[in-house]
Amino acid sequence: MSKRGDERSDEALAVAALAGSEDAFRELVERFEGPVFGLLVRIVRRAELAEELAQETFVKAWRALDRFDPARKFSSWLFKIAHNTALDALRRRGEEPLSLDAPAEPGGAAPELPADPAAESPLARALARDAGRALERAIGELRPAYREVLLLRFAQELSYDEIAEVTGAPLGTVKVHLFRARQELARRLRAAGWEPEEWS
Amino acid sequence: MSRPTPPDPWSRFLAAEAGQRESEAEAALAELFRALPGRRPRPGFSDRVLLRLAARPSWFARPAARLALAAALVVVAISAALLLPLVAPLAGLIGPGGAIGFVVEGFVGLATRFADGLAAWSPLATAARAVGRALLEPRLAGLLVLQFLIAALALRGLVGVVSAQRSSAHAAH
Repeated sequence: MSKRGDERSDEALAVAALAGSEDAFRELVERFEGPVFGLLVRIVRRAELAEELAQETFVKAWRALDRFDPARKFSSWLFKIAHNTALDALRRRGEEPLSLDAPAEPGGAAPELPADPAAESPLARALARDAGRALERAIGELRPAYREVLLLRFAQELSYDEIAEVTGAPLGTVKVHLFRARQELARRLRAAGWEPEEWS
Repeated sequence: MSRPTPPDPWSRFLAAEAGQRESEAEAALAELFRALPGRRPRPGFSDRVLLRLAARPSWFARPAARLALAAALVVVAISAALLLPLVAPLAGLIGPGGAIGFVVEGFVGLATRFADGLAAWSPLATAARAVGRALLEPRLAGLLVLQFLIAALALRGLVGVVSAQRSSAHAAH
């Protein structure tokens, strides 16, 4: 998401936005609305709340642009704001969503949202059916802390270091969480009957 | 119940996890995530964000303002708590009769001030009466009219002189 061909990088857009360019900030919003919303909706699991929090994330980012260091990656900085915004919102609702002590969520439904029509590869179509719903459900059932690192790693494609920066957790903890999240995901998929042997 | 054939990266992920082949599992899972249907907010999201940016946050929304207001309320509450015991005996002294007396005294005071204000005009009224009496004398009245005419002519002449000077100054520029 950083730079596409002759497009300006996210960091350059952030600098332009800081100088007062609303167009630059609009472009940043359009680039990141999907990833930020996608992360938030899988954390809070309610589309309406996720959109409200996504808006709040961008408003906070605009107001804090003077504290953004252009030498660092804009996406990590933005995801950190989204992470903190989600945490604050869920704490206000009396939940401790991203703590490891938080229990896994049995029967956690996949967020009910219309799929992006742009995702139309054969694999995407397959995942949009049973397999996709099963995967979303399994992700939704993970412990919130595992779910977030998994999403940051595989949905947002952040590096381990970037995940550590976003979540504020030590690098070793991030690695352990990711390892366990993967194991937990595989276990839940198998428990749901999606065994490799069945497919052959 | 038979399931549809699952996507290939799915089986690779589960097989790699079962065989503890970490990098293979990561790669397969990344592929699965990339193919998951994307999630997007409702259309017009960026417009809604920019609209929120344009709206200035209310003064009361600032944490510092809320803190200041809360502190002020605490100070007022403490002050009231300290002052009330001092004021309470006075309130007891006044009572309903005292309140009626206070209102009546207020009216009396207001009427007195009004009368004092009228008294201030009496020297002026004396002067006006003297001028009125003088105007009734034909010689004095004629003199006053003559003075008025001379003053009016002098004023008009003065205005003419000033206007002529201003016009010549503009022309010079």
